[in-house]
Amino acid sequence: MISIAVSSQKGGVGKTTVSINMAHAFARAGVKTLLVDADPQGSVGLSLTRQSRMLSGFYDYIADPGIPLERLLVPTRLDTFTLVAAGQASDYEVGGAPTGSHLARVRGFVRAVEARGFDLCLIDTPAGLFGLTADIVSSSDAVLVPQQAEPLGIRSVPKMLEGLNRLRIIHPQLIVLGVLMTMVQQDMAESRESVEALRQLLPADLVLRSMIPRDGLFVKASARGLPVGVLEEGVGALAVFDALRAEIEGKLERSGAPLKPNR
Amino acid sequence: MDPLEPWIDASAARRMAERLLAKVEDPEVKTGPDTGFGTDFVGFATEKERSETQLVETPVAEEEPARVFEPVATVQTVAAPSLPEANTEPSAESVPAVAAASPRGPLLERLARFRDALIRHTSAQGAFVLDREGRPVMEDPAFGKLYFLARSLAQAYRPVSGHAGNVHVKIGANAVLEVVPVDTPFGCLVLGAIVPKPLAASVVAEIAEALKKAATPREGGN
Repeated sequence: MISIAVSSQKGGVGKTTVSINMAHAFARAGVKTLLVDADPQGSVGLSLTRQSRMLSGFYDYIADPGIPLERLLVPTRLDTFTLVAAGQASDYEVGGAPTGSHLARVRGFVRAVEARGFDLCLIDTPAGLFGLTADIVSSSDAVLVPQQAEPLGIRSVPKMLEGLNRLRIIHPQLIVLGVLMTMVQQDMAESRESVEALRQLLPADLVLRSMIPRDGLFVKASARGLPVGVLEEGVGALAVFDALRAEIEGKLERSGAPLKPNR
Repeated sequence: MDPLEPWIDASAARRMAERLLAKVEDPEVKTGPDTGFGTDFVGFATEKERSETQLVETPVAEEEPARVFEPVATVQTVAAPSLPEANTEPSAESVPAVAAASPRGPLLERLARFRDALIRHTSAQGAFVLDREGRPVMEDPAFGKLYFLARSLAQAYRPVSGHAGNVHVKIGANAVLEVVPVDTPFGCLVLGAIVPKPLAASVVAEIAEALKKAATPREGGN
């Protein structure tokens, strides 16, 4: 199994949208995928299941690892796509707990997911690269960093790089899949220039070729509790996330950690 | 328009980015039977060369661990070429040599040896080591009240090039708290030592080096 944390230094960069739609793309390709909502705002759960606030979830497991993983799994209409909501304990959770506090339990959770036979565990983390997010990244095989394509967002890049370097000290084998530009607006000069500037600044391997456009469809999809690719008019979005999936699979393979679906 | 130019040090960012892409060798991990951290503990990283040397050293080291502080000849040969100015205590010079001569063991053991040597050579009443956030890595219960002060001093400290990396504050008629922040492979460690009088810069520098060595899991490497 491969575990990927979707994390960013800054909030509001589209982590949840990326997580949901990327998980959907992998699941559609036959990869047995578990999408874990580790964001205490519970956005994945809110997007995909209306009753998510009633479900036990990731934070309940962190509070009490005695809870069987089975009780947390929420099936979807796709056999290969399963969710774990944030859960009931998320209200008191994180609260500035220092990095390392939950490491053992997060690792225990990832091991339980692997034992359950999933091929891919995608974890949507809270913003920031410290505390619980750092524990999640340190427990994952790889990290993907969505980054909003706008000048203000890109100014946080050095801090993000610093944070990732710190985490590579804790977890030297961490595969940094790279920065994924999100909310890209081709019709806006500042957005285009931000993309350009980031590509100049960072090594090519650290910025994904795939980019996620800003699109009202994402809002529509989340209002209906669906991944955007499921919408009738979502064919374009489907193609974007399929390309992202293929790119990530290629990166994992080159990093020596290929995704191997147990089919 | 370049939206990044005025805000980002491009070369520093690129260096950090390249570090992220560098492959790191998988350290060999070994779980000891007495780690005491429960079943979730994944073990200590060990180096091959260390385990080889340990095979040779084990009979001597196990016989009487305290002896590792005794090789006077080693200490003298290191100390002799560069004696510091008059107000430093000559014996303090031996601290790094002693630490360097110590066999590698788990971090806390090495830190304890470092503390023993420090106390012996500087007449310190006590010593503790904190991480940058002020959490104790090696405690000294007698001086627990000084942790917060040491942490605050360390955090307020800004190194000036050419100066020893320490600050001190008088805490009694014959007691000074020396705070020495040291960058180690474990991150920044803060040494707090309660000594009778402020230490000379050269002694502080050597103590810092000794702490760094004590915190380094491999001989002479990061």
